[in-house]
Amino acid sequence: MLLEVDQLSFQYDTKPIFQDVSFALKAGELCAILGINGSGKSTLFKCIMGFIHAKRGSISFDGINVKRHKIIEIAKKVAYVPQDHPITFPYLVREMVLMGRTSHIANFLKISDEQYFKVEEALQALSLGDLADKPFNQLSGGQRQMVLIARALAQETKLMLLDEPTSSLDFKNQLLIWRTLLQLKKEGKSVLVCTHDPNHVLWFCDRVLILDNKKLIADGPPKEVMTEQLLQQVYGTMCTLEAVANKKIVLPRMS
Amino acid sequence: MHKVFVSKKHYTRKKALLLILGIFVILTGLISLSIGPYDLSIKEVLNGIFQTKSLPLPATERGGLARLIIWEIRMPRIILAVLVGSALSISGNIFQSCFRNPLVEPYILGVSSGAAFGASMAIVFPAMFFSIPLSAFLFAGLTVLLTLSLGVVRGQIQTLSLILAGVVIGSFFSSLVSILKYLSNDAALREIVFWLLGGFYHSGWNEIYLLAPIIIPVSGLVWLLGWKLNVISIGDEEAKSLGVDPKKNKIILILCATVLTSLSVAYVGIIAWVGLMVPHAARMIIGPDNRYVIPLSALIGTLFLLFCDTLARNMATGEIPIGILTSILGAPYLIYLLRTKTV
Repeated sequence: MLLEVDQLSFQYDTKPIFQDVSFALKAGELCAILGINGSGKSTLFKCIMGFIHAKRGSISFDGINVKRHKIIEIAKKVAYVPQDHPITFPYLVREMVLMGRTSHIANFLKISDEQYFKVEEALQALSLGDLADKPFNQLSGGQRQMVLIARALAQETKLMLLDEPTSSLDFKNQLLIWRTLLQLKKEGKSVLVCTHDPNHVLWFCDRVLILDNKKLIADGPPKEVMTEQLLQQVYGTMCTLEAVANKKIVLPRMS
Repeated sequence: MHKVFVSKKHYTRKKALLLILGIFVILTGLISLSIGPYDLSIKEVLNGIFQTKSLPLPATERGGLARLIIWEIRMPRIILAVLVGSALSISGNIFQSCFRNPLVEPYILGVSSGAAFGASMAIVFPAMFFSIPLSAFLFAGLTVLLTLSLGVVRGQIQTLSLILAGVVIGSFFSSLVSILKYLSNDAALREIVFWLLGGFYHSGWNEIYLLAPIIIPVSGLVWLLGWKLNVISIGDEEAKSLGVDPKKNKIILILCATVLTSLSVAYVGIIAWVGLMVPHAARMIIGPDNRYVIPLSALIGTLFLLFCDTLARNMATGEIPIGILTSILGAPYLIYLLRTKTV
């Protein structure tokens, strides 16, 4: 298993965020974490990445507990794509993507051709070649998110974690991001994505983990586990599950 | 591979720029050596530098006098300007990148106020302190330790807490300096005021022998950590996810910046604005990649202080404290930055 989370519980001071969360991720899975605001999705991500440490439970990459990995070793196993954000200093897209190679380069004062080639490869894979010499801060939100994914690609890890990658994007850019994630899955990468949109999960993901009331209440293929009853348990009675053109879709029910 | 070639060309241009500016710094140094109350031609300067074997020429002869002025008066001063200009600019860059705030300067953790207090104590109570620079350095270090102990919450460096702690501790030591000024006699007061304004008037080879073996290797270490500084400057969590330990590296870098700033302040007093302005100028010229910003900051800091010091030595019959000149030139520069928001 690429990633194994076992009986993980986290609390801030005395406030529990989630309890006894267990799941494992295989190679080539596109898995979503779904839940309302404050359900602990981002906290779970932070625990997996080692940004914060849970008091109970364990997280393993390739069967080795995350606590026994050095920071640089985790960076070689899992790439993290944060939510789109502007940065303080105007790094070029090329430089941002080169940062993805940090864990692979010993001497940054003398970078080999191979490293530059990996950067170009990552940029080309997402058709970002034309933006390579543009400052990251001058790009649109969608372009910035794509650059952050390119940086994760350059990191050459088997597992990629994305924190709400489509949250601030227009519909076109949302589709572009999902198409990219499906492509990554095809190439054998495992992708764990945190999202707020149940429809995206139904349409694009092959597995979903649903967090509600501090517990993992569902784990399985979205079309099977995302029933109307379960969705109403999570989001309340203001939503309904319908089938349109052979696709399931979550619709609002306002009356 | 064509694209790789483009990438490398991008970096080759930056290296060429550094080389050109390095040559420019040497030329400026030569010009600065030639300018002073006793004017020398560039040829005399070159002779004075390279024909050391023909010493001793009697100082009464022009050649001998030129060598004496170059080696004993102007050269140590210029080398000190190079060391301090580099040190302040590099430490300004470290703080700006670590705190992800382009308006931060090297004195942010209260170094200048601590050093000012240390120097003032040594001036007012000379019997109790070994020397002014040593006292300034010790109190500068003490101030940073106090600031860091207040700014680290639950084992994490909290940027806002650290900056606020710097302001509070700095303000506390400034008040102590004011008390010392109030209590001191006229001569001591005059000396404190001059020290606070900063200047290279006490430059000699002893200072160089003490500062160079620390400032040069510490600057070199910071340069080696330049790429990690890039990664840290985009955020702690991202840095960690990319394989850089932000806590460990920030501690090393902030300690380096503290040593660079404290040593500079201890020997030349408070020279304002250099650490704020120069990293900006470097980033505007070469982009934000710290592998290039660090050497370029050192070169621009050197040029700026050489220029200001040459002005300070020659503008009036008496010497003008360099801190006044850097402030006069710094204020309009900050207004320009605020107007254009170019970082």
